[in-house]
Amino acid sequence: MDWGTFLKISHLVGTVLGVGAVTFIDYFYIRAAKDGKIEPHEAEPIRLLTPILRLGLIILIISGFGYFLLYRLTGHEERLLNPRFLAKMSVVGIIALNGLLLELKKIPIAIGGPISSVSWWSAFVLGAWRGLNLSFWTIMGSYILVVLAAILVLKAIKKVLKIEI
Amino acid sequence: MSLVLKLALIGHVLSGLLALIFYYAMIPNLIGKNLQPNFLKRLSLAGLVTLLFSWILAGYYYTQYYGQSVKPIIKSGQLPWAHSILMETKEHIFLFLPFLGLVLAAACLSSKSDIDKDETLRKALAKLAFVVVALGTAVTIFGVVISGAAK
Repeated sequence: MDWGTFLKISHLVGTVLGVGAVTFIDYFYIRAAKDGKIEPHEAEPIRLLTPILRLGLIILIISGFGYFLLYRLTGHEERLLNPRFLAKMSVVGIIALNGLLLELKKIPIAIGGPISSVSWWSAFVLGAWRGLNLSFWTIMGSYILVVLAAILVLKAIKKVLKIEI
Repeated sequence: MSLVLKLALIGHVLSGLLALIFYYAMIPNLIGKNLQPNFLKRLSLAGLVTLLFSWILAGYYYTQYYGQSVKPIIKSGQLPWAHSILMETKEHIFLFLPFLGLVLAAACLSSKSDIDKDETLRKALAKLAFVVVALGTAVTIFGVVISGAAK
């Protein structure tokens, strides 16, 4: 197996763990919060999935920098300034910062949750969408719009289901 | 680029990343309710060792290769500011990061440290760890742009 294939598999594993964990955390959170309070047994799946999310993030970051080294050492440095690559790196940085703020309870879950979900899915889409040919600011602008939309959608879901937390 | 230089660059990037992960993990441990002094000691020591490793390898790569082979390409390329602004800034920030790491390790490892009792000390150390992570992230991004400009 060459380094490119190894990195691709590692990167996919990191993304799958992160996207999968964040999606199930959202699902368990909405399900648990339906009655307005989260019981300890309802929080258990979320607690169990959090280390998976962290592991996914670590694998994603390390394999991402593996790509950086591969490009640098094989004479494909121009790919490092590709807007899609830079946008993905920014989104992963936001995932890390948002995770820290959520852990420290410095950001409400109604905002941090959607940021986390949208960011993980955005990183996945940006990684998979090879032909995406937009500027860095267009990609980041679209990402911010989707984050705002997700915050509003979560608010609407809470209103419809009469969730008060 | 020789094999030794390639290994130096790989080691520099990966150990620097590991250092950032260790310091990132210190922050919630210092501020959160579940303080684990032994875990903090290990993290601060691992952070310092990996940061120093990254430091030495970067120094070797910079003095043996970057100046002669990469810098002229960047300066004559489309993004000369990648060297004149980003690399110059990166050098200076990078030089003092291990000293910040040393302060964190000394505070966590000292036998006289009251880290489990002194909340003010913990908050100050969390802020310092955040500064290391923020500066480390900035120089990492600079590194990516500098490498991208070396074409």
